[in-house]
Amino acid sequence: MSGSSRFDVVIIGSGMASLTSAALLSKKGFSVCVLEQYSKVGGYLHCFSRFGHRFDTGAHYTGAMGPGQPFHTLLRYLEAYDESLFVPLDPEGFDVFRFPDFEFQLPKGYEKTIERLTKFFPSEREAIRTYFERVKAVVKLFPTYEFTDDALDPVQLIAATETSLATVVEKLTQSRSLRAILYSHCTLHGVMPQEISFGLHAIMVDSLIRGPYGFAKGGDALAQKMVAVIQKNGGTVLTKKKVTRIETMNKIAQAVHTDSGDRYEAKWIVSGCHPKATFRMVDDPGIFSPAFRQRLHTLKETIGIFGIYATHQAPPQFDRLKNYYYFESAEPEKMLDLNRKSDAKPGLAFICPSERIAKSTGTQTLPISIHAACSVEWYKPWIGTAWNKRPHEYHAAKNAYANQIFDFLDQFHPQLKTRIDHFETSTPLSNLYFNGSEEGSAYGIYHSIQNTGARALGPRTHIPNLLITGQNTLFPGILGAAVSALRSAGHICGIKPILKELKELAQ
Amino acid sequence: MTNPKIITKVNSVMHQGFEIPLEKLTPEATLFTDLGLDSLDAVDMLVHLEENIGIKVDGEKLMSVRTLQDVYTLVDELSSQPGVEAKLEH
Repeated sequence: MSGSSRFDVVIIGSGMASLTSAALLSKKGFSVCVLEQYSKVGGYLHCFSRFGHRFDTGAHYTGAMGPGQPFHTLLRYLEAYDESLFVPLDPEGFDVFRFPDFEFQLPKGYEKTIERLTKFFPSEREAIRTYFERVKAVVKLFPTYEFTDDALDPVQLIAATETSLATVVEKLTQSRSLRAILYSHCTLHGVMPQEISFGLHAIMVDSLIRGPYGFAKGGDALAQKMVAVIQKNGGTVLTKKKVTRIETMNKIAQAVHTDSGDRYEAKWIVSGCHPKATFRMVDDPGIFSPAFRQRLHTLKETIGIFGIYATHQAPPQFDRLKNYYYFESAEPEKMLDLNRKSDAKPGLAFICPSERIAKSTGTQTLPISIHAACSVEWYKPWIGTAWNKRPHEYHAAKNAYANQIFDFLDQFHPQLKTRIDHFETSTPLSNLYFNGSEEGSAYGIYHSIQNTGARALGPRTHIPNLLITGQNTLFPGILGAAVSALRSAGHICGIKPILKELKELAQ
Repeated sequence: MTNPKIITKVNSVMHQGFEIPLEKLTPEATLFTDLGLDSLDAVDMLVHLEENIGIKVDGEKLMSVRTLQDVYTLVDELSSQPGVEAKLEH
């Protein structure tokens, strides 16, 4: 069936940024239509069921969700906040960083964090306090995180985005173990400490230390809540609508076309897809200068992620309210195995319980997600094959890497594999298939300093009424996506009044 | 006096990157009015210059760039960075 519809705003994709844009714009009276390629909304918020349990795919936990904090306030503003969707993670240690010779548990709250780190590294007292003071100060420079519309000093903001995490940390401390702990969260954006902007890293750290929360009913439940809000506001959300073309006339976007032959006309188009995928859909590539095309072409992607979704026998070795990070080395230069291409041995892993709340009381099987860095290159022969129709060789390659991950984890949890009843695996190709992620990358564009701040892509594009949103335009994670949507939608409906309302709501 | 190699290289980058006719690339030409760039093009220009000339520019420096001469001067100031000399020859 084909037809034509008209909206104020058409939004491509239904991940966190797209849903946030749609909720915000529909709240402001715009007629919106969200078009999702897959049969379910949510993007990285997707969950799936296996072995009688629910598994999250991308949304494992989030920050800034405590009362009055940025994410909590934004969801309340959108009327999408529902207390029952979130569960506070263990305030005594929500992130467990495990190295071969030591372990550090990151607690909630700045003072507790500083105190615990100082106990670990008594001679680094000054460095630790200064580091966290700088984190707290730098996040205040980001208006869409702190909801301030005050005039900011652009020079200060540029300096914050163009200084790397390693530059800040190396000046403060010579302790290699302390550096290793401070670099552990690089796993969450996939950028090396020498290349990530201190400002972006600081937002991630600040949000987690202040308000670490898990998803009580999985990320899906948040996506569903957002859809309900959009629909209540009069918006439309459609699935199985894969946008294949953005129609333009005289360098202005007119409409989008789907693979089923539908045409959706709009005054504005907001794309939550990867920027490279978005610009490929534009029907007139001549709109873009050779300089822009070259820039886009040379943008590097973050690593892919390999996932193991497993049921762990009772009694569990993992706490439901903690996340676990494992590093093969505590050497700051070796611990983050993020730029790997050919070496198939994992050097880091992340384990996260999928059901944060037990279904009933008593000891029982715990569903866990295990993630490790991997490259899409390893699965290249099967790119383009359908998700459920891949040959034996693909599954054999997956099993081989899953076993290597279990072997790597053996030093931390001896015999872990023998305590797993069932497991299923995913590769960057799964991400490519379900989320249209460029090269199967987990965090989209590699957010090095070269792609941050003044040099970041979006939300504006060379087509004045086409905006891009999502983790590629700001920083990864559910929070990064939601905040990026504030900027994209704010470009359409005016950001200043929204920031003012958000600030009032937060107080 | 700007190094002529820099003028030639910047002009070539602007011509290839933005399809601006060479005769329009004069020192006094303003980026936005005379050369028809906008603020998004200015960021593309920065990245394009960095890629092609091998310089690293502080983002804040871009805020004071108005004319093509300002671009020449900026590149000239940064041309002592390692590897730039070789790229100017090509």
